[in-house]
Amino acid sequence: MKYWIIVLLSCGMPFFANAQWDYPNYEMLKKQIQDVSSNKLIERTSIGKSVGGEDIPLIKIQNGKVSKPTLLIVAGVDGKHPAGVINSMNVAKQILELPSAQLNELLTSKSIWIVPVLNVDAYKRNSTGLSWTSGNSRVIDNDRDGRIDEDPDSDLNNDGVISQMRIKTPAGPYTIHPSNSDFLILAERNKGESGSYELYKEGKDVDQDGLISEDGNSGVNLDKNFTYDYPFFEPETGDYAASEPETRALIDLIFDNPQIAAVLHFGLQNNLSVAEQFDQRKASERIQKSWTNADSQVSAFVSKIYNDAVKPLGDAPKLMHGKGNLTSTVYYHTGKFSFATPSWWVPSTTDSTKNSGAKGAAGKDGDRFVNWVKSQNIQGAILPWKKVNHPDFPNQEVEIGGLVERFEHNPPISQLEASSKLHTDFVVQLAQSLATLEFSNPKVTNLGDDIYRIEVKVFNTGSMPVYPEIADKIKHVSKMKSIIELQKGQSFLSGKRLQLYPTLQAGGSNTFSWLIKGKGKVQLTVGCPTAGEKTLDINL
Amino acid sequence: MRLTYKILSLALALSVTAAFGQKKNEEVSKEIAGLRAVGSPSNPKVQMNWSRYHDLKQMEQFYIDLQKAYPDLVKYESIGKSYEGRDIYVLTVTNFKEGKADRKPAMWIDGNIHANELQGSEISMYTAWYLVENFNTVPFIKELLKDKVFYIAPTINPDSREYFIYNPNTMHSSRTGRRPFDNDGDGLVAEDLYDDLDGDGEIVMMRRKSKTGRYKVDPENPNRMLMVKPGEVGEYEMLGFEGIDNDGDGLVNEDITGTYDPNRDWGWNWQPNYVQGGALYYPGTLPETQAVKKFIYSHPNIAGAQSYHNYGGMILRGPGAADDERFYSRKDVQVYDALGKTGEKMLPGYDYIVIHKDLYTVFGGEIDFLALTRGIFTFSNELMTTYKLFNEKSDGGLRNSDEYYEFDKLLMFGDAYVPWKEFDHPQYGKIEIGGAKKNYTRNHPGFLLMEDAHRNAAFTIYHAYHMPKLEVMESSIKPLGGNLYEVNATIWNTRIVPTHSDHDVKNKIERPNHIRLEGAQVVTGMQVINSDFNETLEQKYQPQQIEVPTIDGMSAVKVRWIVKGNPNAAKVVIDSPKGGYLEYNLKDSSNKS
Repeated sequence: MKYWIIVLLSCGMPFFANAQWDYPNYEMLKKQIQDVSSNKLIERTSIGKSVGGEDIPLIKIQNGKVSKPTLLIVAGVDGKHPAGVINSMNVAKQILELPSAQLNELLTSKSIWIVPVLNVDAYKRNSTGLSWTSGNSRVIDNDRDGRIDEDPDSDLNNDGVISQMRIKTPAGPYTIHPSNSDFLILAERNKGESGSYELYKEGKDVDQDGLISEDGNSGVNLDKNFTYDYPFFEPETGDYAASEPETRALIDLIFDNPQIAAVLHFGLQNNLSVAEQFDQRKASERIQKSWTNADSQVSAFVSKIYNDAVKPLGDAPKLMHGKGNLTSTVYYHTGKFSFATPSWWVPSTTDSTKNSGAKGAAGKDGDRFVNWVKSQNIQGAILPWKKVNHPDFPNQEVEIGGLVERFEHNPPISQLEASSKLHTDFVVQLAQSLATLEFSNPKVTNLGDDIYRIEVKVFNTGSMPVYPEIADKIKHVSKMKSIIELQKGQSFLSGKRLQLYPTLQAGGSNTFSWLIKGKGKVQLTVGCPTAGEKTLDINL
Repeated sequence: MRLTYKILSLALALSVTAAFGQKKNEEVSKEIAGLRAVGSPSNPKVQMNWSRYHDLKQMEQFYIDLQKAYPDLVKYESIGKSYEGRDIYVLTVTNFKEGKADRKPAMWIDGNIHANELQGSEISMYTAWYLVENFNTVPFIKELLKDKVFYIAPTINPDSREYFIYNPNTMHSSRTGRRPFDNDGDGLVAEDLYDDLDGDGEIVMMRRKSKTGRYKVDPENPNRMLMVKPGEVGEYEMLGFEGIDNDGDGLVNEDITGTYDPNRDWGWNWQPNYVQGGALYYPGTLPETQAVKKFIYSHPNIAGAQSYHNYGGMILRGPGAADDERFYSRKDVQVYDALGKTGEKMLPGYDYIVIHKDLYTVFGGEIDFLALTRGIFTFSNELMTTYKLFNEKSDGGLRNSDEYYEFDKLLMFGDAYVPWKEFDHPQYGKIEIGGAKKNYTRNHPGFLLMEDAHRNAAFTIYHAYHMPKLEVMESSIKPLGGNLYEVNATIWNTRIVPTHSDHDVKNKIERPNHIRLEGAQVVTGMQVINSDFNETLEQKYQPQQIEVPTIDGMSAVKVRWIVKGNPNAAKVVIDSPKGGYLEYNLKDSSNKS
């Protein structure tokens, strides 16, 4: 610890060169994406451009051009989560390294698409400078005071990183963590504790509005710009829902590719460790706010697979769905199964022997973080406090140090390896669990006088429904359907050319039948893009 | 003789001057008192017939002609392209010679978002035409175009307007745009459209003789179908609008182009289509919506807005959803009421009402976008009402009203309906086709169109007039001893609409008004809350520019600076996003304070 401070002080090198922050910069990331895409099973394309004019990459892992039920993985939505980006790339690489028989079998019936970094602008900005922001390159007036970026981040002690700033105050809300005096936690007032610090982000109040660095060089956080429960007029949310091209590009991708059956988001939410709960009242409101009963059972099933797969990572932290986030929007507004996980978290199994009494006010998560930093010797994550003279707080004791936010959800890259392997296992299982339709051979009964009955039975042999129940309500989602094309001279005595059916649950089956008059060939198409379609020629 | 000569030469000189003067006047306009019907130009530079509808080519010609005739008052531009690549035009109407157009408080007017609702375009066009053709004759209009600017978008759904006019449609169809979607989920797009079975250019109703049908012909008027009473045997069943089952799915006309609603595509409280029918993927799925949004955001001077729809005779304000009532404070509602209630008087037969309470719930509508996302005082008028037919409220509601039939008989002489005639239908067999033409019931009959155009234009002019107008009420310079001076300025808004709605202030939608002292060395600055008791609010950050969240209608704000040195040469700049821009020299204050 001391060593790197000395190095830092002596040579004044930028922070990244010294701390354990080893994420690839944007150019390196692009190169990685390019390298992975040289595999013949990968088609690399772009789903659109960011506000900053960067291509948003899409990596399609698929065998052939015929569309198959597809699992879409999305990462890098909130710019403060590069770990998700790296893990999505790790998953891509590890899928390609699967034994070829297993990989072939998987890709015969399913495809896996990956948008490794939706918010390319944020990745680019955060990987090169001081910046640590969620948003894209949109120029916004974050505090809505009519001045643009007038109160940016300010590296007061010139150590190349924005950390925390504490001000000694009698009865302040924060106190020192029992096992790391550089880490501040909320004092538990209801347990008679009292604190001695106010805690802020390192910075200044340039525009004297009482807020520190509240309007800097950050744009719209895409994970607050989606349409479900959109939070208008809040910081980083944009002018209106889906105001950002990146947001629209992702929703367009889902609607334009009806074969996308489920979306897995590596982001700062988690509905996998704990499944979506069914709430009767919320599910029946006009604006639905709970997964349906049937869909929440699917969520429970997927959670089970997930928790089994990632067990070695220990208990995952609870991360609530924020307003206007991707994951809820994908379920409620695009009608797809939608799952989210940070894909890495501070392990709960770290050695905690030296921290027995510290069920502190920072809660379990704070303890975990402190323990992890210590046991793994994560340099640069918690900095020692150093006094500064601060113009906004004259005659007060102001110190810079404490938590460096970027380490909260983003460990040194080497630590992602293990979690990405477990997540690759989960991704493969999830893809295999998607609905799969099998069709009986059509049964044709000649009723005489050129009248034929056609019967086809469809089975869902997958472990998930063809699509979530909610999708039956959403107009622009492709439904289970059958289409019979007749030839000239043939006509329907019963049934219609086009029929739509509700979703088919896992293990369910459905029989379709038609009465047709007239000899000759008819063409029958049955199925759904999210579970597979089949076209058969039937001779009558 | 000498005298005569002098008089002659004087007369000659005078007549020459007069002739020059007259010639100059001719360039402006030629109004002969006895020919001018008050309120209307007798010899407009751009001759228009306001008793008809216009297609896009005719509309563009109108923009070109108007700009050519009044280059200092009109500028037209394309603000973006429609789905099918047509330009969406906006006319900017103001006196370009006085003040900067984009710094004047602006009135946004759009029409025809629902393309079958044609007349919003004509009324918008009439507004532009009326303003410029009366600029030189009516001092009120001259003053208005000095202070304010109008942004007028006659159609924000051009593809569908053209489609409505030239393709098979009913009075209700082509409400949507032209982006095709697979409405029935069969993987095909727009494969079952209306069919003009008899090729007469009108899509009307189909009926079939049937004992179990519940309709009969009105003995008084053969165009009209009446519902039979309970227990009475009917003569006909109604089979919907003219069409056949083109795709063999047992449904007729079920996959017409775009059953979406462009007025559910906006970024306030947007909801998906199972909550709000007509919605698409997200707000702004349509290029037309994106183009308008872009224009609105790049013109923060827009303080008032008017959208035109049909029908029913309504002056609507938001919110579209009950949930959003909380965003309409009493103060904002008072502003709406002041305008809306005057509107009721100007528009006989129109009621001033609230969308979600008195019409129906709308999520993701344009009105809410303008009013709540942007904080603009916005109305939406539902044009045309049965009241206009005989200048009285109809009884029995729309469905049972026979006024449309009677109006047709007495005033349209049968032009509004296609008489029933027989037709062999491939699926239904022997049927009859007939009914109201697409331009009847919702769109105005010709002679009523101009009247309503003027009344609605007048309402928007009234609205525009009452958008904020800021003036310096008084100012003073007071020596404080030493080299210090106190500068006071009182700025007031002489109109009804505040510079920022309450909703705007609460959510900081638009930046505050800036009242700046330029050319003086400011020591400190403050807003004076109560000058009688010297209650002030000091502004520590950048005190030379006092930030005032709003200046209410018919109200004043007072600001004060303490400056070093005599500020005689300084000026006060009033810089309000929606209230305009004004510079005021302090030395002019001598006669004011």
